[in-house]
Amino acid sequence: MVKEKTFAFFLGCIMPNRYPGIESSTKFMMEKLGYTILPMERASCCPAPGVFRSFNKVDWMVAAARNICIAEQMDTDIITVCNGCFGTLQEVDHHLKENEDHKVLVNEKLKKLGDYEYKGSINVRHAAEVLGYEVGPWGIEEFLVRKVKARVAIHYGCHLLKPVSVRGLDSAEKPSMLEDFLEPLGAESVDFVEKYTCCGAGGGVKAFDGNASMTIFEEKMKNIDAVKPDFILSPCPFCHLQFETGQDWLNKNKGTNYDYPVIHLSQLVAYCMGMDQKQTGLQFQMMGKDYIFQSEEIKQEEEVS
Amino acid sequence: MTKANNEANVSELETEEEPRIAVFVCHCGHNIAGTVDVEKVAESAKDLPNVVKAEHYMFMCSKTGVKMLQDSIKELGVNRTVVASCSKLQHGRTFAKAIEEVGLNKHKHQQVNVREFCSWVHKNDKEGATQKAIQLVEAGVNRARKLEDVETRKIPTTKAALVIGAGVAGLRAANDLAELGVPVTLIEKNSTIGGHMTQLNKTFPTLECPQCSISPLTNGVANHPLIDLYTLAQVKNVEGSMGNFTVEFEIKPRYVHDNCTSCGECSSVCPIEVPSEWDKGMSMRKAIYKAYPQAIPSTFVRDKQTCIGCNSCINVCPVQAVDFSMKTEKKTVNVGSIVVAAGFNEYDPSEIEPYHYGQDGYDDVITQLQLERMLSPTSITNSEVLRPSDGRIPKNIVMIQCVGSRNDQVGNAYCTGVCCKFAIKNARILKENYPNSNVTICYIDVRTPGLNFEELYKSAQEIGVRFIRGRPSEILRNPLTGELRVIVEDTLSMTPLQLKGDLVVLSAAMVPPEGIGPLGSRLHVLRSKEGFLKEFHIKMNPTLSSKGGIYLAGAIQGPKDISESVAHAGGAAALAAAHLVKGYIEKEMLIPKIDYSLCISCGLCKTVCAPAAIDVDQDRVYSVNEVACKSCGMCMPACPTGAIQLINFSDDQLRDEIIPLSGGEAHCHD
Amino acid sequence: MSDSEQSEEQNREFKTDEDFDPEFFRNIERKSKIFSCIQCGTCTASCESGKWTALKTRNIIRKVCLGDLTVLKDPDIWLCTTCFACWERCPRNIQPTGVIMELRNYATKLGNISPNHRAVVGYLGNTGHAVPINDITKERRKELGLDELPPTLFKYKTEGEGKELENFKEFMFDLPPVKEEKKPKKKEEKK
Repeated sequence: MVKEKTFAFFLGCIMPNRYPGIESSTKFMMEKLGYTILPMERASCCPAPGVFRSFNKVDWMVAAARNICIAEQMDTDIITVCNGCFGTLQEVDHHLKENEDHKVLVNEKLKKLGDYEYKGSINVRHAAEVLGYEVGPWGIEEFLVRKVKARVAIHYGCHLLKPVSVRGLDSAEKPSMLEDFLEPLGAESVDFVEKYTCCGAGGGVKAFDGNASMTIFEEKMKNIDAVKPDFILSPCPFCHLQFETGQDWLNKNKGTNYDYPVIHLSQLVAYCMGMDQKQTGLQFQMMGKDYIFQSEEIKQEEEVS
Repeated sequence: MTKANNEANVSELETEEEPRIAVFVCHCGHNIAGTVDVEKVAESAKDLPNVVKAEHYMFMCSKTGVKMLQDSIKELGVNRTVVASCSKLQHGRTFAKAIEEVGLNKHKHQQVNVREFCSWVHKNDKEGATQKAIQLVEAGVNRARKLEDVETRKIPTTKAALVIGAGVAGLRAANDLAELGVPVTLIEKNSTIGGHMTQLNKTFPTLECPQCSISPLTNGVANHPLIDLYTLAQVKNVEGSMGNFTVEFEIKPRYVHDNCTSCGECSSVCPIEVPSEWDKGMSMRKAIYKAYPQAIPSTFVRDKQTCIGCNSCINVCPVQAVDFSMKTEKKTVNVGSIVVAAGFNEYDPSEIEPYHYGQDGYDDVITQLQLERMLSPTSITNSEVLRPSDGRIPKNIVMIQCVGSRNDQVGNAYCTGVCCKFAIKNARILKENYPNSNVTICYIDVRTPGLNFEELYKSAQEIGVRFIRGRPSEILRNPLTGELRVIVEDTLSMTPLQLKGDLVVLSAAMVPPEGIGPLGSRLHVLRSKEGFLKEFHIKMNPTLSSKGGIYLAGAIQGPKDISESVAHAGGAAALAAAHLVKGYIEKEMLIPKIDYSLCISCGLCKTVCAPAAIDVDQDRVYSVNEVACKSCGMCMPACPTGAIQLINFSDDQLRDEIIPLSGGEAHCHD
Repeated sequence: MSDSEQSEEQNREFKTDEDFDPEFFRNIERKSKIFSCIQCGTCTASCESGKWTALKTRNIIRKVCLGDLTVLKDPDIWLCTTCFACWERCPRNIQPTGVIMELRNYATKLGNISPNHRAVVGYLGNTGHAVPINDITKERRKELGLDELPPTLFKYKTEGEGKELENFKEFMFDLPPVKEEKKPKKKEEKK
């Protein structure tokens, strides 16, 4: 039996190594919500679903299974705040639970890496889904100390919801998980053209052909800019990175003047739950450095501390 | 030996006559004799017990061959025949009929297939093929030895028919049956008859008015002295079998009596408005209403679900026809045949998420049937095509084919086969009515087989309908302007396109009608995996269902256009009438017998019996319905004690047949 | 191959049976489904990348059906962002995203892999991360009250009996050596 209200926190690469503010925000948010968050010692890259799966599917599964094994040894479900990590770990876990042949194959190779045996005893969760369906828009209100007044361009990213038959979370064509969740936080979701399309970073494209990646992103950004949101919100550090570096690239190469803050779901929720904006690490980001959340306090200071 | 003793011996001989078997091996030209040594096979048969004659001949199915068979009976007193030639389906019947002509029961013939089983499959092994033929003939002789006479019985039929569904197929079947003198009960679950055809604007390929085409039939049926029509009626229970069914059906109250003059006063005072089902939601109707002006019956109907009971209609009716106290009625009829013409539903495209059908902001995404309603002479738009969102005439109209057809994601692998013609017809009409509009059809393959349909396609191309070979991936809405765009690849030029879609028309599939599951179970008929009712044989008997006496007419058997439905219904009516007009059915009593000393009343035979021919009474005594039984034999292996045995297929007989094939061993159940 | 034969092969617009190897993909996953493709173009129309790049998913599936092995040298297969839009919408459930990722496995085995992707594999082997940590992030982690290094494989690289990161480098994602690309150079020279 896995431990209740406890998660093994899978960090991945981009969050701990580029956006530590998302990591501190996620810890703050989950602990305030009453969850115990445990570190996953010796975890590696998930490994990223677009690139490493493309090179060698078996090794991709083995490396992912190794990460899952670490959580299995802790008897806890995994939580991640990255769509890529979720994509890999959830998909491999789902696949190995159904495919006995591959489970044997993976366990054979796992022995070379250390004392690991994949059992299939835990589940892999994304914080967005825990917030959306477990805490819920109905349950978050009691934890809020302030609401944010903002028009938000929500970007789901691809691997949070797709493939739908594997994730089983929400519609990929018209999801509402994040919009519903953000409503009690005060944030207003603004619709824009082609809202649910890709940011252009995934599948190894950002590394393979940066210009192609930017061309896809340029259109995305144009559509977002057309509705002038206060910030862009995403549940994925890789999309986050693309929105940050991408705006910078467009400004330098295409003469744009974008400066939209890019905010991870955890950063926004942590802030609404009382975290100091400075602790969310927004000041370290490339875009929207001057942005200050427009908020409305709803609880006494004492209750916060 | 005394005389009395002698007489007793004679009578014993008569009851258990000594089998005298004649064996004939056919060459079938070179078909058999080219591989199998027919002489050797005939020779070896001569040594088998009870065989009094064994010969081989070039063509046993020829007149001479048949005469050889008959002569052996007349001249040698042969009482069982074995012919080793082709399959039972091919010529078994020929030989059975031949022996019947000279006085032997036709079930005393045993067919052995040495063509498909020997010569055709073992062409390169003549010796092996011959040895196999010898064994098969011995098996046939063994089987023949214990063959019993099977009686053919005449069973009187009830000269009346039930037709379920009053769309064009049901109307046609009802009309044809009545014209053949068969009284018909016609039941329709909706409040009016005529089905989908009444909703259409024009029929392809000739662009005729469907109301004009169907109204002689609707009027004719409604007024036919031999047809009893019940609307708002549904089948509740069916018992019996071919020739004699008892059907119970339920008639929901209309809440308006037949003295209604159709003046419409009730509707005009009714405060409730809901989307009209008949108009596919393109206009509103009241809680008391008539579906459309020419509706038959013309009596108004009250929708109890939406009515608030304000009584305005009761008060205003000049002839006091409105009556809220009417109750559901039940009726029982005895009929000899049932024709199922329950039609189809238009597929609900909301399942295909990228097309957003029915979602907020996507009002201008409609189905072909909805477009048909707008174009129709009885439309609320005065036959103008107007966008549901703003009432404007659309400049760019895009049609999307294969919505719910050819789609494994939604579980419909089949091509509906009608939508290409349907869409091309409507596209042409749109282009004719609005020459300045751009009309595009996005298709995967254009399927217009048959006379006049490729011509229709060509005429649409010539008038300027644009055809794009590609299945749209999505209908994209710009949330800032509300504009719709259809995203599609023109696969022929390998160009991704974004087409303006002021109006997007989805060519939705034809799917089984709702409620087909319960109806199918009540009728005890099988369904195809797609959910339609399954025909007996796709080629040779497409109008018979899996159960004798129940026939299929129109789209209930699978997607069909009007011409096909009408032809199918005519065929169904002729088959349904045949045994009713004749007055009886002939049935071979090739049925199982139950040995009650072995039967443990477990009921397994009943659970496996597809035509539901096993009855059970309140004392758990099981019996075989001789008329319903289809002689399939499924009950035999299901029976754990061997109590149920099909005549001429008993365990004992099959064991005898298997022994020479298995090299001396046979394990039947015991 | 003589020069004239070679130039004929380069110039001709038609293909012959010899240009295809229908057996090559006999072990590809979803094989029967791929062959049921009706070339409807839903995948290409869904493709966010293909709107802007040379990636034409439908043509890639077509090449697999035909056994056209040039698809494995085609850089376009690396332009898929794995957004799964085509996977979600394909009416035959062919799962084109999965097919493309599998084709990349075949291509990798043949050494058709970009230098940048080789570098990413190198990072994974050396640090356990596709995106390794840098000094500025270490500082920021401390400022935010986090440990300087996250508790991942990199932090423990020198610890433990097996030295896991070394195992990782040794056994995972072994790539074929870099190909010496002579032919394209020649072409350039000719031009």
